[in-house]
Amino acid sequence: MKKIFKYIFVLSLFTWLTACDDFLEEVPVDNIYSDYIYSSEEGLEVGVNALYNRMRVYNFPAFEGAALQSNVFFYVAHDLGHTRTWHRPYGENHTPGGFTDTKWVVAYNIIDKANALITGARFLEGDQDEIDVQVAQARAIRGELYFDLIRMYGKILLDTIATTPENAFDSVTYVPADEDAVFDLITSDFDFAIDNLSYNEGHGRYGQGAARHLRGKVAMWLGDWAEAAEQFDAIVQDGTHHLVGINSVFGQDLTHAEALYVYTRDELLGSTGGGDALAGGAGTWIGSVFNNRAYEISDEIINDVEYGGQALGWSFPNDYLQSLYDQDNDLRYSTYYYPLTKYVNNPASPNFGEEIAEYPDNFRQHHFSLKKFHDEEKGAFTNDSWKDIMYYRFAETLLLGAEAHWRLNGENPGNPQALEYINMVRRRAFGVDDASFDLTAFNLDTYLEESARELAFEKNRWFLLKRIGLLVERQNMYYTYGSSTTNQTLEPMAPHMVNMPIPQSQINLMGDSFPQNDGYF
Amino acid sequence: MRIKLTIFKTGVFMLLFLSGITAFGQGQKITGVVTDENGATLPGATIQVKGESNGTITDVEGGYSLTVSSTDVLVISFVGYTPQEVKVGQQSKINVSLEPDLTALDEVVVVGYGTTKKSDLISSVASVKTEEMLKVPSTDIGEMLRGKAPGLLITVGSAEPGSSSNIQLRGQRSLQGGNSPIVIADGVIIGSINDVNPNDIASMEILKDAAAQAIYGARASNGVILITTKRGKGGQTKVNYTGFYGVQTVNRNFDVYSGEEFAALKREAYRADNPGVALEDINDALIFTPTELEVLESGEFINWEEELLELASTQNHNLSVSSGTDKARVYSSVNLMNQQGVVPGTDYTKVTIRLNADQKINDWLALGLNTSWQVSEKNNPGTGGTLQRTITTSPLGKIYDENGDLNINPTGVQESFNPLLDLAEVSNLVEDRNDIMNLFVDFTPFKGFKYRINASRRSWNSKTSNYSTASSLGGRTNGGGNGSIYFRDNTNWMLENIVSYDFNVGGNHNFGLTAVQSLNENSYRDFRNSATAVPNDLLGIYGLQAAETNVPTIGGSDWQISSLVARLQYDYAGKYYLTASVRRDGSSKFGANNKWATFPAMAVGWNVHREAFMSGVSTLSNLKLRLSYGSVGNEAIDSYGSQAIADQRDYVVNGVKVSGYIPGGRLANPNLKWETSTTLNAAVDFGLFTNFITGTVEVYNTSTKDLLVDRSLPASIGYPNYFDNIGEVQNRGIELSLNATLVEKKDLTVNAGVMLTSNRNEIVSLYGVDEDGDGMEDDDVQNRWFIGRPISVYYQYKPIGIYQYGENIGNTNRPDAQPGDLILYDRDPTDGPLNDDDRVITEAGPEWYGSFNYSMNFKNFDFSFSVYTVQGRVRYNNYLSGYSEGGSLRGIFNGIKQDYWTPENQEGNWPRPSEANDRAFIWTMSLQDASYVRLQNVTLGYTLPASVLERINFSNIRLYVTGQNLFTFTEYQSYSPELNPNQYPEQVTLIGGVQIGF
Repeated sequence: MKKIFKYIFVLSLFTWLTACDDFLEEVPVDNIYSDYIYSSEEGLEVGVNALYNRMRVYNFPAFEGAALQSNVFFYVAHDLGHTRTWHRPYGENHTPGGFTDTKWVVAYNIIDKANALITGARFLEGDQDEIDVQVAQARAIRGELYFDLIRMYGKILLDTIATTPENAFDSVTYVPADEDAVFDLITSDFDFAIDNLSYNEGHGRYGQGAARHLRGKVAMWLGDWAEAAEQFDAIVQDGTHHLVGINSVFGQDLTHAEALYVYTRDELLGSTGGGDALAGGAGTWIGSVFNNRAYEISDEIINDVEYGGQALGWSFPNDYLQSLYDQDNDLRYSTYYYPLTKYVNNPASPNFGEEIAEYPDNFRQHHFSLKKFHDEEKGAFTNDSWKDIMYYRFAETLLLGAEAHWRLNGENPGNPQALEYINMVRRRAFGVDDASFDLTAFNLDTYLEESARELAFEKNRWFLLKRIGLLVERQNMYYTYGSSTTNQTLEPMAPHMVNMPIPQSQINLMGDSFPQNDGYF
Repeated sequence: MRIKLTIFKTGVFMLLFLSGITAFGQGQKITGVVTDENGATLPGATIQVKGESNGTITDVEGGYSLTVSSTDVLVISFVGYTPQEVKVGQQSKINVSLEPDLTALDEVVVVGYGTTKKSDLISSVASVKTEEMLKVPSTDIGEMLRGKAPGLLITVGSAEPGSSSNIQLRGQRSLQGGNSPIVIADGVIIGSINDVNPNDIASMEILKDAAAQAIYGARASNGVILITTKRGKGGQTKVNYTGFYGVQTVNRNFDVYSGEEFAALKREAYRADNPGVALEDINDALIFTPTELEVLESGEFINWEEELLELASTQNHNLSVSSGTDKARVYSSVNLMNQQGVVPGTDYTKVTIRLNADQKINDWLALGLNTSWQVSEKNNPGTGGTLQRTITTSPLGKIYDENGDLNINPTGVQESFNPLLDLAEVSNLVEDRNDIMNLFVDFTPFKGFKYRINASRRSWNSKTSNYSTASSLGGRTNGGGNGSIYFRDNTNWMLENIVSYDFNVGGNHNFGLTAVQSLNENSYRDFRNSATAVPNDLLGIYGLQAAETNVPTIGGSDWQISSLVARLQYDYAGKYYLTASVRRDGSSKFGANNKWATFPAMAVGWNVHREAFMSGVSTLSNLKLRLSYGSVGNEAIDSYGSQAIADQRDYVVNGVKVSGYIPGGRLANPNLKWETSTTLNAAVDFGLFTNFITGTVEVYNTSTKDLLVDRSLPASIGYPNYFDNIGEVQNRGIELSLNATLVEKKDLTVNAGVMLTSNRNEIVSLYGVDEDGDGMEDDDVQNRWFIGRPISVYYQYKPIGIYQYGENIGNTNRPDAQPGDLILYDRDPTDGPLNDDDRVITEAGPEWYGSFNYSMNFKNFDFSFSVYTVQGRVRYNNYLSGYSEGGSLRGIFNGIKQDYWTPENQEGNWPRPSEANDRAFIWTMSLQDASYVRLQNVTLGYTLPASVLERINFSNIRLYVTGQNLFTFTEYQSYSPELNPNQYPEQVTLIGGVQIGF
């Protein structure tokens, strides 16, 4: 009997003792701790790379949904846009609860990570120049996001302190930031970026050109024409960036001199299933949003990449924009837009190669459509495009530079610098080297029209009009909604909609101390 | 109607029975005492004249007296004991000693780390009989439990072959954590209830109150299901075969628009957007595709459902052998299940093999082994899109092109794809292997003492091969075949030391002590490779390496739990009971500051009917009062939830991939801890008329605190979420189960039972803040959590009608609306346009659910049926309003048929169609009553007479037919009130089966 107890004792001692505290220590198997990013130079670099990935989600998310809608809105909801379906800018859902909160949420998410990288870099040891280049990119991203937020919402929060578990729940009363403080941060971020970035930081990263372009835009917003002109002039004078051939601007290869910043995407390094997380991302639908579905017209037209392949046809450039072009001479009309005349491309049709006989009055199938996102390598049966996307380009630098010089010169219609810049853009557009299509007087109307012709549907029109104070007026005159000529109508925005509604979900989370923008309830 | 009739008949039976009981027979009077195997008297034992209603029960001293005739045979029975038959003859005093019934396991109840007699049970434990479960022809044990135990709510998770149901016990405890009970088979936590072959189950217990659950501590908050598998018995060899074969089909509770109706819808949608165009002036060529026009002309409409769904077979075969000697006993079984899907291309096959062995080495040492080995294969190419297309592709199309190939867009509408396409072009095979190996050593050095070392390893391996050919919809989009292969390995180790000591002091004081130490480790590793643009389909899944892109994903996680348990059980003379237990658990998942928690519980019970003062109350044969209080935990989050983890987010610079990492979406929380549920449970068990009617009424109040929530943060924090412990949720409920033996005669027995459960779920507190200063705690509107309301609610505008011509629409909360638009409820008609306050809370329920079971044995026939109902349930049916689901009446997709408003049909209760956009707020129409009454199971069986069986040397042969899920009465428009129409349709099953034993 004694023996038995001995056995039991030994056995139980063996097993009972294995229960010590180490057993409960948790070490992640397939993840790294966040600390790594903030505690080494290598960490800083991977952190900044990830910021670019998140920025791509912010501006060009995969697939459809609220994230895409939050971007499409700014592409279309102004004097140059028309909407057929899916979303309805300024419609019944343009409310604090109805309009997506994506922009607000994603922007602040990235800002916090940028804050953490910027703060963490202060304590890093290593090659200070290299560290500054990384920090400069983080600061350019932060500056850009704050600039975006304040232009969209008017009232925003300002926070430059990275969140930690220790400070996350410090008592905060959420109130709108002082506008001057926000712009102080934005300008200092861009100034730091300009000081530390070269013009060639690589395709997919901000260089000095993008930083100066953004700094100039900020100055324009603040009415500091001299500063703005200086920034735009610097880009022109440097020479890294210049206009390229009209066919190359939105060509398949965007690694050209006109590009100040291009969002990269790569099918081989991404995956539709993997979504935006992967290096190459997932296919974006934004190009398909603005193109009609010609292949639905009849069996004579099939899905073909030449006409953009599979498309959605949710929003379009409108009649007003179309009317602005000299359709015979302005190369932009045939380069930036798909042809309205289409040809039978179904090899099985006896009419192959002939012009389509009849076009339906159905915008979904037939409408003036945007070609700026055209992707020669896009699949014919998918909305996904993996092509890089142009975001900031030199032509806008020139046009903004023209406006800056014009305003700096007391809005003198004959300001030579303004005319030189705007005519650089026009000569390229008309494919001439001489003054045959030059403007001879610069005024607000010619400027807005030229800007529309060159930069339409590049996500700057809404902000430009808002800055000048003409958003409501011009939107009310030209913005349309409808699915055919018989039901197309103006869909005017209300004056208070120059500011986007602060997302209700965020007001709820902020404890109702943050006020809603005027006019929304 | 049928139900009412049955209730009526049951009532008649009861009346007959009650009148019978008073009609005592004439004859001699006999007396006696009934004792147990140890000579202790058994109060409450039943003495019954065989084949008659005449009978009585023993008094508190175990004594009885009864008037009988000399030819009568007495049947003496008591719960947990083998009934005895005694011929009366000339005896006037008949004393009987009953032996415990070791075979009738249903009367011995398995509780955590031990067993107890049902009469000694004082916590809330529901036992489900295996034979009742096996009436249900399903591959899912969860489905077999539906309506079998009060407090247990079973809902269909997915009805695809090989799927598992959702099991919820006593309401939703956790806001965001899992709400599934843990399942323990033979002392080992298993992954799913379906890891066990249902035919191997000897007993199944559901631990419902904290007193029963607390011994499982940290993971028991959602309840515990204990499964005990069959074991070999000494001295007898038994071979059993059971098998069935049958067919499955579906019940559909909706219509789609026919060809003409869809055409009318399309025209109406067009007209609504083009004011001034008269119906007759619409140019059909503008709105229909050439194919649509052609089919509209020819009238050759497609019935997509007929094209897709088919009758499918299901079968199940089980062979078991049980044998043994004094020293060694073995139970082994093999089971084959096969279910073909009603959607072609879907099926499920599972083989389970079990070997349970017991080896007695000497007086104080024994070994045991439980092993289970399970392999399964599931084919399911993904039916959600296919089923959706079956509804949304209009009948105005052609399935095949002139070459006999499937048309990709059968109607010519570019959004509508051929439902049959992916069934042919997509394959998805899931192969699972699931092994459980459990070894235990028992030391029993002296009477009442037992020390068990219990070690187990469960290993689960899953492999998924998914391939879509270049001709599939996905392949067409991605420019080539695409697919993925996925491997996952899970292992679960458990090591337990269990010590128990039962002893008696002074005859009436019975003590049981239990102590347990337990270590548990779970881990998994997985690997997925996703490939796009495979150049050709020759090799299928084995051609992935040739793809244009291959994206590998590798992952894994580990978590550990360490536990200590102590329990004391005490009773005095089988009358007064007390149990107290405490468990201490530590889990790796929680924050560094809060790894450990303690879960105490206590229960008291009183067998009132064993008291002397009850001896005079002859109608009451059993009365037990029970009360328990205790707490259990829930660690409802994934590993690493408390930590600061970075996500990989790479980017492309200069055309080259650059590495990127960014802190994950969650802020770390080092203080993260357990969810704790505290339950007060009170119950009455009763038996009337010598237990001819038995029942239990139970009430409980469970409060769950420190709820684990993935909490939203203001955007400026930079992290959208973090895990936190907040608030309190309360579940209060009442459970009733009632069983009556309506007739018990030689050739006829009739039983009926009712089970009812009502649970009220309520959020008591959330974040404990009152930001808006109204004196009441704030709701979390974003998550739809409202103080004083259940967790599951809908919060949205409420449609209350359709605007008509001539109405003063401008004065309402939707001043821009048109006739044919929805009128939305306006809380305050003076406050202008529609605003957030106009939204209405709708509780998802259910308010109550229950089942009625009826069984009858007549000679060699057996017949049973059960009816199941869920009431006060509301669900969101996206097919009533969604664009892609055809619910928003755009005329682009077909959909579930509704009576929509048109200028000619102003009585219509659905908004007017609209082509350009979804009519605003049409989504508010999606809430639909999903309450239902269902004829759950009807079984008719025939057992060969004993005389025949003896001749052919069989112990049992039974033939039976069963209908499962036969009729459902509901308003919910789908294939099942628990599923939406694109979810795999729940089957109606008809089977025939046989049971053979020798």
